[in-house]
Amino acid sequence: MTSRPSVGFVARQLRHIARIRHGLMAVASGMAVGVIASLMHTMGWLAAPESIWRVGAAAIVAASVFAWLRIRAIGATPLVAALWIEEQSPGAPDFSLVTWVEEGCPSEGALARAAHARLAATDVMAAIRQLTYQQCASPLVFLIGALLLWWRAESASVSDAASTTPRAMPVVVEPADRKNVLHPWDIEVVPPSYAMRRAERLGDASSVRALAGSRLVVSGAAPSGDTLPLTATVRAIRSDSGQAVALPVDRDGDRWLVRTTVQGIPLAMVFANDTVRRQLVIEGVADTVPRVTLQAPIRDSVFRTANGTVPLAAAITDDIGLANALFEVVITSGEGERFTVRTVAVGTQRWSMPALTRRATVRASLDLATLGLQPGDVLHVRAMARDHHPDRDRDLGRSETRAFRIARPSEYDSVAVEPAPPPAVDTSLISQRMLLLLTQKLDRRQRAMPRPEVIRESQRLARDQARLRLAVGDVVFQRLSGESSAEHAHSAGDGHDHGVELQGGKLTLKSEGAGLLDEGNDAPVIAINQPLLEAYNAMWDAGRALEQGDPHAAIPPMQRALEAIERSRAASRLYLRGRPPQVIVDIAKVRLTGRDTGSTASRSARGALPAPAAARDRRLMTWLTGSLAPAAFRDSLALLRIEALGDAPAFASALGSAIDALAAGRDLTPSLVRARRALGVVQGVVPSQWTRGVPRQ
Amino acid sequence: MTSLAWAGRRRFELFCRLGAIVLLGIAALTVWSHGRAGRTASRSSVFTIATPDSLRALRDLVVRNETRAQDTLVMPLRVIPSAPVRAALGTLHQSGIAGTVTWQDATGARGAALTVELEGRPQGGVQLRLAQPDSTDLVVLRDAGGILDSIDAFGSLHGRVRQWQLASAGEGLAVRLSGAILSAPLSRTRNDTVHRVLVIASPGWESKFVMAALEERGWRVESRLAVTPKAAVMVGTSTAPDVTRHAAVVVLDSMNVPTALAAYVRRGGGVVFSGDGVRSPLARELMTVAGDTRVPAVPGALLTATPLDGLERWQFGARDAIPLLRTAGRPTVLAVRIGTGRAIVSGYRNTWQWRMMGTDQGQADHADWWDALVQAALPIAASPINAADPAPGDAAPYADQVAQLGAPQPEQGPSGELQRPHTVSASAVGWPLSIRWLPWLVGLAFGALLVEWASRRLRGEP
Amino acid sequence: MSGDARGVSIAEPFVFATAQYESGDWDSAPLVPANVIDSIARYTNLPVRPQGVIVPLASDAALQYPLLYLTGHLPVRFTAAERQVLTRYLDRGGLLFVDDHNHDVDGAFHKTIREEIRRVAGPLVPLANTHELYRCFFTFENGPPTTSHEMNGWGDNLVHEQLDAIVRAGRIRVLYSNKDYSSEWSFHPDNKRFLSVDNTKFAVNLVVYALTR
Repeated sequence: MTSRPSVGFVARQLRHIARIRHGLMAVASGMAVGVIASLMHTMGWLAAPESIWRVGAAAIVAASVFAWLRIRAIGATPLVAALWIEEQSPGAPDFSLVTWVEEGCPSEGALARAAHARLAATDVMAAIRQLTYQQCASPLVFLIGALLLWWRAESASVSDAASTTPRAMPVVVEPADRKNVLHPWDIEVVPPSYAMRRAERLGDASSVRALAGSRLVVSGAAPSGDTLPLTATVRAIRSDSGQAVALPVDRDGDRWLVRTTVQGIPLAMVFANDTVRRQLVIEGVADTVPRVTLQAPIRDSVFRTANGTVPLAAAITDDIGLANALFEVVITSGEGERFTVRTVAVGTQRWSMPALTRRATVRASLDLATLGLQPGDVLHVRAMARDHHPDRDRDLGRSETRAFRIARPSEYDSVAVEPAPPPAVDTSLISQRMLLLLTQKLDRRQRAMPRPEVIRESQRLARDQARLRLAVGDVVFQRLSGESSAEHAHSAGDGHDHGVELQGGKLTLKSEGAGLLDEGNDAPVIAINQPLLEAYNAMWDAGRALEQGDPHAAIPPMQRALEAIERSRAASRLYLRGRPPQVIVDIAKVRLTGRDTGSTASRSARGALPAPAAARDRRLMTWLTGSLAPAAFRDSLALLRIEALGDAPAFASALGSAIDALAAGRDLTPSLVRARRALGVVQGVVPSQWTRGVPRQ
Repeated sequence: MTSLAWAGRRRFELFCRLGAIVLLGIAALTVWSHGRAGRTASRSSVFTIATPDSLRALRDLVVRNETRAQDTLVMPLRVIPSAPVRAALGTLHQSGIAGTVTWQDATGARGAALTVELEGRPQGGVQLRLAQPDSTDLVVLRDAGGILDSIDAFGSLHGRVRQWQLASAGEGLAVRLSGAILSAPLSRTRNDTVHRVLVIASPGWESKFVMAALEERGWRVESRLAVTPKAAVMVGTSTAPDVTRHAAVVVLDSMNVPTALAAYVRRGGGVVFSGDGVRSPLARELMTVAGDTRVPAVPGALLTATPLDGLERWQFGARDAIPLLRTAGRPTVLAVRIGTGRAIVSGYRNTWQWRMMGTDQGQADHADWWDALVQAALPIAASPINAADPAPGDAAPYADQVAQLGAPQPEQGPSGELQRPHTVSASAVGWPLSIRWLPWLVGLAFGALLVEWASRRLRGEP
Repeated sequence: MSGDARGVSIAEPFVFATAQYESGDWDSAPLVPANVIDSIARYTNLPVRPQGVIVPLASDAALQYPLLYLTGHLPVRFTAAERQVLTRYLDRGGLLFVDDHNHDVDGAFHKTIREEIRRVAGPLVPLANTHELYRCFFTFENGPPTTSHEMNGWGDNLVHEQLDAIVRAGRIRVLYSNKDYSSEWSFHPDNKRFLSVDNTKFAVNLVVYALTR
């Protein structure tokens, strides 16, 4: 044995002990800082909200202290070790070992023997153990104490924070250890071939948005063995009878595979084995039918003759790709109960794979002469387009329909084709202006005329005035029955009530005019031409004066009648398309005259409409206040989001944010508060003395 | 230096070391005690309740305190304590165990009352009413799920009452205002309200769509729609108003109103006269409504934000009734108590037009309107939550606090400084030191250790 | 309209409305409204206006009449406005009664109107002959009454056993008939006295159903 290795061993042990002590002191210092920071936080002196900051500060302090101690540390050299051994030796030190080391540790001689004897007399290992205890015990105790205090301070801080500012929503963090057969999985989406899109690998996703018809493959690492302890089911999320359908789980080498097809409705796939359960939400996006807009012709038309060419144009768009488009022309011939219908396709255009055309404008021209049209035929023109979706029974994209009609020669008096021509003029009628002129002329000449002649002329004018008055009377009342005469049967007690009264020969409006349009027992008068009514009455006055041979007295009412007619001419005009024959039922006459009587029947009750907002809010609150596992909470949110996508997009959007926050370990509170506000379950009510609430306008 | 001096230095160093250890031990116990209690109750007679859940701290104070009868315990309260704490304080105050117990009002609350009531409508719902004197503070309504609504201030426009209707509410429904938290537990009592409504009407669009609206909101409708004098379409089985069977009766037709309806209302039934139903002799008798004027509808108003203006209505001159809705200063919906029952009169005719000819929201609004009308006529509380509330003072915690402890002492003296309690109890109970002494303890301990270390190093020892 | 403070009924009368659409011959059965109105008055005491109205389907005025009658022979292509109004009409509680005046399953009206209805409200499905519609006033044990026009040599010469309908939430939104009630009921009401059995009684059921469901 040589004494130098022993001294060197002791030196190394001393250095180790120093390092351990420094480390413990550094950690204890950091702990002390952490304790103080926690207490300050508890007392509100420190605003740092998260414990991670306190841990960080403690770590920095610990590292700094350790570095400082190590820099200051005096290295345990062999000389120091020898001196330390001398101190541990029984009896007074003779420094033989120290001198021996200082002399370079000679192997021979009295000094070497004395050193060896000194070393042999010393229980070095026991001294090292004692030193270790002395050096490390205090920092270790301090460290343990600080650790306990920190733990208590932190728990006090957390409980206090929870009691003062409770978090509305839990921060749900995925457990770190979640490696199992379902974590991670790999998702591959293969779109349908007609979509001409590439397959996508989505990795370990929890929700998938894919085109309906896509093939979805979920795979994961399979445990070794013959059987796969895994089940997979799929169900429609919004279906009332949401029966789960089991899907086969296949093995491909060391991986399990589950395949399904994306549908146009939201689906939830659930994977489970004895210990874990995981859900995949599939949001199927349906392929929409092409959107077709007919650009030409822009309006319906009527053709006098079946000649000429009609340009056709339509703009078509599709989300995947157009397959073909055409203009469909439906030609209807006949009238009454006999009609024939034929369909002609014009301007067919096809787009072949593999190029996908999402936007196109198709044009064609319709040669009317080649269609063999007859007067009265009606053409309905529209554009139609189909995309590459393989389902041939699927709906087509259709445009608006334009209708063309080949006019019949006999229909030019119909306002349905053109503005109605004026009705045939009764040329035997003398206009009011002419009557007025004749009356004024008679008035000027009557002094020079014999009285019988004046009376005869005057009565002739009175007859013309009466004919004109009757003609005006025909248009005073616009009546649904088609019966138009103003004087048809108005007499006292005749039971007629058109809102007018016949007083003498004149018509007067009743004072209570309300109800003119909907009176019950006779032909309803739907409008009264007030100026013509005034003219009618003025004509009556004029006619009476003329009958009495007093043309001078007839002139003022005739002037009034002429002014009223002028006002009526200046009024706005309405051209009606035409009225079907009208039958007015005499309700009072037929009331309860039927031979058969009905029976008392019972009406089934209708179910209440669901209140989705309240139900969703209740579900959300149940999850929040319950002890839901993080994964289950996330899955539930994902399901709720899919459910709400259609009818509550703002709520679904907020839930999407919450799911993202959940995945990132952030606070969910803002997202979930936003989601609940989007639901609108809280309504401010106008306060009232009536405690049952007040209906809102 | 002599060995004697060195020995003195060593004793001094030992004293410093032991002192530091003792101080650290005290600090550790202080922290430990604080962590155990969550928040240590102050030993001082100035007892601060920072949260409404400090019952444990109060218990510690009461059970362990050696306060004398002549002591005065003054509590500056930053929030109104919870009901159990208030009850405990009241007991303490009344018993005289802790001497005179008074409080200083640092809550900023000015006395507010909150009622939470389950509504009687079939699809549930909660109605909150908050009453408070004039205040311009922010009012926040929240539950366990977070903030539900916040109102800036009580303006003169809305008076001193605020009301919410919640289609759904979670646990912990509470209102925070002026530093106080008002809460009332949401009872899980089963809603026993009868959800059957009798509709007295003749066949027509109004009766059809009113019944549809009520059924959409979950009411079970009963009616007899006479098609002929002998034949009718029956909805449900009963056509006679019955307090035990019908939550309310809706009268849409002025004819064929059963005479038993008056007795039904007086015995505690609810009735809604709407449209032409208000012209029935019974409505006139019950409601003392006067006025035969029909106000025409405003053309196109059904598509505006005030769709009711688009409906023709009867105009009232009402006496002894509470107007629930007004249009142009005239009441259009009235409410009145009749015996133990309630009656609602709505003058709007042909409300079905709101549904068919209104906006896309009109259908839901029409259903909500009728749901609310029937709800307003329900004569009894759907679920007497507050009656079953174990802490009835929660409806008005401030008032309860005053009732328990008397009016608060002035918080500030004439000079503006916070008044301190006159008497401080001396003896310690439990762990006497507050957490606020901790930094001093730790600092003192570190100081002692520093002195010991310096002395030792100056002596040349490691 | 009349009103009385003593409690006289002032209920709004029922108004029979015929839908007017841009394409086709919407007015091919002009006497049907009067006949239906006559039957309502004859068998019930429902207040009814003595004359029907014609309401453009493209107009919001259609929403004033929760029961609409639509018929025709010719192809029907709704305009965008008609489609929009009809969607709102059906969603809000209206009932559209469509009768094929051709009574021809291969006819242009049948094909086009069903396509339009499918686009607006969904597919039509057969309505069970036990439905409330057939029992709400008069009882029709075998479902919709057969018309004399179903085998008149025109159309498809089929007796259609059932009507088709779109039912949602327990309520008929669209009722579709191939039975040509438009021809069967298209006569002057005064001529009912010559009939041993009134063939318009089913119309009463239709109106009573619409007014009470």
